[in-house]
Amino acid sequence: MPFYLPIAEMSLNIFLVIGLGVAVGFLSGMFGVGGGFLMTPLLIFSGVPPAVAVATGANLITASSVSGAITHWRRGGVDLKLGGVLIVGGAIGSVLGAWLFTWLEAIGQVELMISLLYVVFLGGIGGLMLWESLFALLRSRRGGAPRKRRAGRGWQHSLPFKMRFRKSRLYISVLLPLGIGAIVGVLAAILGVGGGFIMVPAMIYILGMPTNVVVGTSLLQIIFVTAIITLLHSVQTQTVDIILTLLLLVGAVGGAQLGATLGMKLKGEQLRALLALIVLGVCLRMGWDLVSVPDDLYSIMPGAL
Amino acid sequence: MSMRGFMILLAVFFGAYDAAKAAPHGLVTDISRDIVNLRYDFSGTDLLLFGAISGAVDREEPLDLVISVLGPAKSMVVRRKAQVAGVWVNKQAASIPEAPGYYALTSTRPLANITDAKTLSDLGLGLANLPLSIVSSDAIEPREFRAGFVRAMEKRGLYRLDADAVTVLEGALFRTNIRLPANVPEGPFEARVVLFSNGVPVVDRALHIEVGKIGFERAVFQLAKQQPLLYGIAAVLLALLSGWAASLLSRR
Repeated sequence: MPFYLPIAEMSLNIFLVIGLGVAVGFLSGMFGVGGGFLMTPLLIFSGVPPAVAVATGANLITASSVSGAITHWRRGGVDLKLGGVLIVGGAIGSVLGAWLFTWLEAIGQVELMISLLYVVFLGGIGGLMLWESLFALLRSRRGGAPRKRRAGRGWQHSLPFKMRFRKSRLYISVLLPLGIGAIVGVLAAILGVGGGFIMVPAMIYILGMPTNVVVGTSLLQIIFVTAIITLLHSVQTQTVDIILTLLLLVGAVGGAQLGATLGMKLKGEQLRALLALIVLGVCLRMGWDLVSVPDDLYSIMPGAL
Repeated sequence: MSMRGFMILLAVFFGAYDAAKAAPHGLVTDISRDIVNLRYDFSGTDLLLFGAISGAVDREEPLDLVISVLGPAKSMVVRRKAQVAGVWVNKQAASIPEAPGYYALTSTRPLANITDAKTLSDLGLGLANLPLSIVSSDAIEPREFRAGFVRAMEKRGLYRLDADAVTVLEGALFRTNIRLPANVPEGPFEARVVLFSNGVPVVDRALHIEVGKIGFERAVFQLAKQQPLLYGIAAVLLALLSGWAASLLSRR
């Protein structure tokens, strides 16, 4: 059944859209990830203009992060002060990112940049995850003890403007969370992702945050930053399609329930290995599109030079 | 008698002779719908353009119809990819300031069999005569950019050539289907029906079609374009509310 999307100005099969929502929701429920890094490429693969895919992706992530954030908030897993600093950084980064996006669109390189960044980040994260989970699987076979991780005690402690974050039991330079927030903001605005896949490791390994507040605090940042990005894209590129958001959300809510149930039956390492393979698959597909000879050298889009 | 005077006399004579033989040709044309609404269930549509050739029709006289539909113009950018370090990158660019967003052409026979290139160009009929001016500051081959643009529009189903898709019954009644795809642009469309007699255009009629979003889709689109900040706030609130509703649902 075709469904006309007023902002994308195209018709997509409604079952395909809801199915996409279910698939990404399923993965996010199963692995506890936001799923934006899968949603945006999948939308682009199904023919949605990249600008609409990115802006609508951001809008969708706001919605899908709310329920997670509420859960973590009830458990006391949100550091409001640190979250606030991450949000300020994210706001700066997303303004910069949205500006970059508009500029890249004007010079005709936005699709290239989206694909390149996806290939780099998905490839990097997917590769690391696969490596780590394979090692973990091997170790659990041999029955060895997992290695202990320690927060870094290096360069990050020589930075100025130190601030105390009681909830996270940290005394660190405010520049660190500001910078992390900003980088995530830039990526989120260009790629239509939440950025949890960058932020969570950065919070653990660079800031040295206790893991019980990491996910909740990052979700809080993601809600605010994706909301800002939705606003910026609404004003600058006018490519947020709320009808598409709602359709995807319907699928994602159902999919997340299914995924969460099934996710509990699998082991953590298996889950990560599986997610890594999916991430690498998307990365390969995007990379292939970059290097394979295009069907037609010429492409068109509305606008002026 | 001057040559000019002779020509006029000849014209009057033959005109009178023609009128005696057959009334000048006329066209009665209509279209199944002159308003096309883009609603949520819109997935493209077919318009039936039909009519009758009036005036006594001589079966021996070769009559042809050329029907074109032209959509609203918009500024477009055409880019050409080139390989840079193994990656395909948009390199040269050109803009087409007034590119028709839709063009369909159909006729009783292939255009080349109906009349000559000069007549077609005078009438502005056919893809080759579409007003596509290529503007660029790069060193480019404008004809290739034009061809690339037309190809891309054809691939999207927005430029359509369909020779001999006009059916003529009894030498007088005609009809054809005009396909508007799901990605059709909004705005005023003009359908043109040109009747050729022996390769000479004798009647030229225009019909208007309006394509636009209505109802909810229109409201959403207009809000997004005219009140973008308000639209953005609405999008965020909608996301927050539905995310919250989803978390209530999932806690059950």
